[in-house]
Amino acid sequence: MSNLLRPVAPDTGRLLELADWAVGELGAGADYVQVFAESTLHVKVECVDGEVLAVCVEPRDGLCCLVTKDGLWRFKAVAPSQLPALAGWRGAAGSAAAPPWEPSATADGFTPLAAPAWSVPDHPGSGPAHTIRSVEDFVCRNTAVADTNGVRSRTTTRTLRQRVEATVTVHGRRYRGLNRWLSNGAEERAHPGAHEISRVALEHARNSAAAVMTGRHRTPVVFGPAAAAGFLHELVGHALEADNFSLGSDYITRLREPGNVPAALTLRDDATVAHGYGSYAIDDEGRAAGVTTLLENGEIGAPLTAMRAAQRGGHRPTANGRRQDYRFLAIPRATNTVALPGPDDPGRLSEDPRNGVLQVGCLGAGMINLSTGEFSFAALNCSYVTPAGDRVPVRDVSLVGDALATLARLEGIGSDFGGDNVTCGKQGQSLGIGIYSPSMRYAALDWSAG
Amino acid sequence: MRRLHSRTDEALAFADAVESGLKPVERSFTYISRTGRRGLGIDPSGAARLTVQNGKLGGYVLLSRDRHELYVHTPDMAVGEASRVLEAGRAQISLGGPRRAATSGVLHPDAAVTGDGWHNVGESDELEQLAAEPGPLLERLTDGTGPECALRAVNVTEVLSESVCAASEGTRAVSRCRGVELHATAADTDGAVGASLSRCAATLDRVDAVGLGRELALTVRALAPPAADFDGPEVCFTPSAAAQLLRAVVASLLLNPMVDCPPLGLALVDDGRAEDGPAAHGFDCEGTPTGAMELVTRRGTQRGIATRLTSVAGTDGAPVDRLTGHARWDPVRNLPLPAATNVRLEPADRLADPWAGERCVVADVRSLGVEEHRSSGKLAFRLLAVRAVDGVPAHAYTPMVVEGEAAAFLAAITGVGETVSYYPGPFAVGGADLVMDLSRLRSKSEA
Repeated sequence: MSNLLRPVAPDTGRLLELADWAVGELGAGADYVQVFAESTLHVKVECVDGEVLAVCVEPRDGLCCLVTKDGLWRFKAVAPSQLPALAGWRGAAGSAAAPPWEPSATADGFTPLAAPAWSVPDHPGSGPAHTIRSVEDFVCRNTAVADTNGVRSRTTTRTLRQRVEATVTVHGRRYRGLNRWLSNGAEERAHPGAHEISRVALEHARNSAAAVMTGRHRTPVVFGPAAAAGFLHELVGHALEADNFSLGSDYITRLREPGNVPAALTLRDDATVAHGYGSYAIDDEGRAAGVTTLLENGEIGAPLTAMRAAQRGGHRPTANGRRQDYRFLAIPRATNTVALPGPDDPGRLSEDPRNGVLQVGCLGAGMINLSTGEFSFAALNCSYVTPAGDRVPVRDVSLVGDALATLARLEGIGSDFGGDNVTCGKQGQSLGIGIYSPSMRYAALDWSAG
Repeated sequence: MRRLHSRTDEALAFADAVESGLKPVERSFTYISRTGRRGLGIDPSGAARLTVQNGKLGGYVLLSRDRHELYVHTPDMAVGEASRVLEAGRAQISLGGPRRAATSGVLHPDAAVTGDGWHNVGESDELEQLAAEPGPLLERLTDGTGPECALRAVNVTEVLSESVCAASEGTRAVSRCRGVELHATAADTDGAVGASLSRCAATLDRVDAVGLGRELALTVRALAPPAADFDGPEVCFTPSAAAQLLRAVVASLLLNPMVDCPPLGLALVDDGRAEDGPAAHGFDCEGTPTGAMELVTRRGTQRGIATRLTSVAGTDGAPVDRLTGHARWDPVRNLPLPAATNVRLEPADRLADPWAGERCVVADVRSLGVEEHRSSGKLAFRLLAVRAVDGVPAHAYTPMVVEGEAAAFLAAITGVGETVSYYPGPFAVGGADLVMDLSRLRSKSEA
């Protein structure tokens, strides 16, 4: 299959001119000025059972201006129609007329797949009736950053994310399965085909429908490739974002104590992963992307920072200032959470002749309380491997526990490796991140199944 | 004091600008909403501080041409952006979905929403009166919290939620919903455990501040370290906890319609124009008039709802053949989605006094995993509860986990009191004192 995103030459020069102009307007009398300029186009195509349900187009154009004076930070989001009003904000000079705003983001090079391509036909004997809902999200995001310290950066990202939700209905009850695929357009990436993406989602849905195991259990739990990184992103990654890190909660304080994180685990934040959902060349404050070690040799590493959080906490700056769009301030966020492979045979990790093992294919939504370390997550695409080695599907799994106690129970890191793309919310901002890891086994976790 | 002013004129001006830029072959439908807030923060000494948030205009333009239609959404729905919105839509219109006859240029006529528009209550000066004399409100709250719980902060917010819709054929409609949210924070006497709760109504005099204070005291104690396990079958829910549970139940029903449910002692009512409901409006985001209906009847039957794009079938599985006023613009999905409006439980007989005697009172309900990401209709909750005697908290119980389908939770409810508040969110949920028999659920265990 060929790449679905045809390469297009980026057009960000005008954005940088706008950012430069705004820095000039706001610079007089300020100690520091940073301007983030954005021109984004988001096209969403949603199909149900082979027909287009709806198409939505969302242009997002504007500036986010951050000004420091006498130790006070002020910020203002400015839409194109509000550019003339910038002159009246924070004593801006108002000396130069605002340059014309020309949206630079386009959907050139993106062609959505034909709606029927997502269908999986029902065949006699193939299982219960089903529906397939697909969503293609294409985002062209052009950004530029300029500040009074001499930062002048610009970049373009073009991302295509395809998601499928399959639903099967058995005796009136609905069971769902999900699957997704992503290309960030940075380089050619083979596409598995819409039918294959749908087929896998449908397989998950059928497994859910077939699940019969219920109740509460405590067994070893193996997170599959990528799911293990998703779990660590929640337990460790958020705690090491500088704004959370600075809170100094009981949980984070204990996380920093020697011996409380597994020595065998190496965890990184890596914005340079090819096709990572969180990958970029520069962050939203103009810093060149890099790699930050989060855990290594049983110790935590440097926190992930955005500019203000680095200054406030006295942390080493990392290029992790991210924002949903120009209406928000950049805050410390993960990019791609990457755990390095270990020595263990992944097949052996799922064996337990006493209690059986819960195998988690995908971590769903949930939360961790960063004050206490308590967590609860939904898990998807799960199966239970019986003590005899038989695999049975399990649905609606809830995982609950204490993060530090759970980390102490890490007992196996597989030699396999895989990745996935997920969205993550923080302070009202939803962003894409990549999760990459081998399989990992925890000695005992509490879980329940529906 | 600064006041909240209507901005429907700005929203209609945007719609006018869109329509004046249309080409002869094009049609548009514009929906814009906005929520403004005026908050009065009051500290325990009675000192007050006013904040005003005007809120942004948000919504969409449905652009139609030939056989295609698409939704255009932008963060800034200002007059100056109208031409950009049209340009962005035109550039992609060939990708658009099929133009739907159900609303091809039709804004459903309803005399109640055209002209001056629909509204729940008129403007009031309650905030001005409160700023001048906050003492009585603080006293009522303190009467409720009792001596073992200290009031830390109070915030009273006047909320103005407005929406307009406009079709290029010329029809206009306006809806305004005013309300008040009383938000209070309290902590135990040594300050180790705190809790924040709120209640909403159309006007402040309809909020039971004593009840809110009493609920705060129960919640603060429920959040403290547990002192015992609870092994009985019957628990009470505070109104906030009942609303947390009901929110998850209704969200699940819209994704997983009820298949089989025994007759219930209550109905689940959805009321798009509930006077005290924060989500009360004269029309939904597609311009369809709202109204009241039983989403789940006392016979245990779920009724279907429908929007232009999709529908949620009822228990009988039959397609819904008319629009029901349940479309909500979802700025994340970028689509109008089927959603509840203001929901509440309507029992056959009201609960008399749920607090009498010794009770296990659930004060906090946390969903274990987000319902939307579960693979079927099974729900799981972690309940924080407190032992209370005649409504006075004694000690916290060990957290409990309960699981079941939405229908099972509704069937386990054995008593419901008056709806004392609607709680805002993607849809508003009525909270009432509620009694539940946990033995009717499939599983109950301690966390």
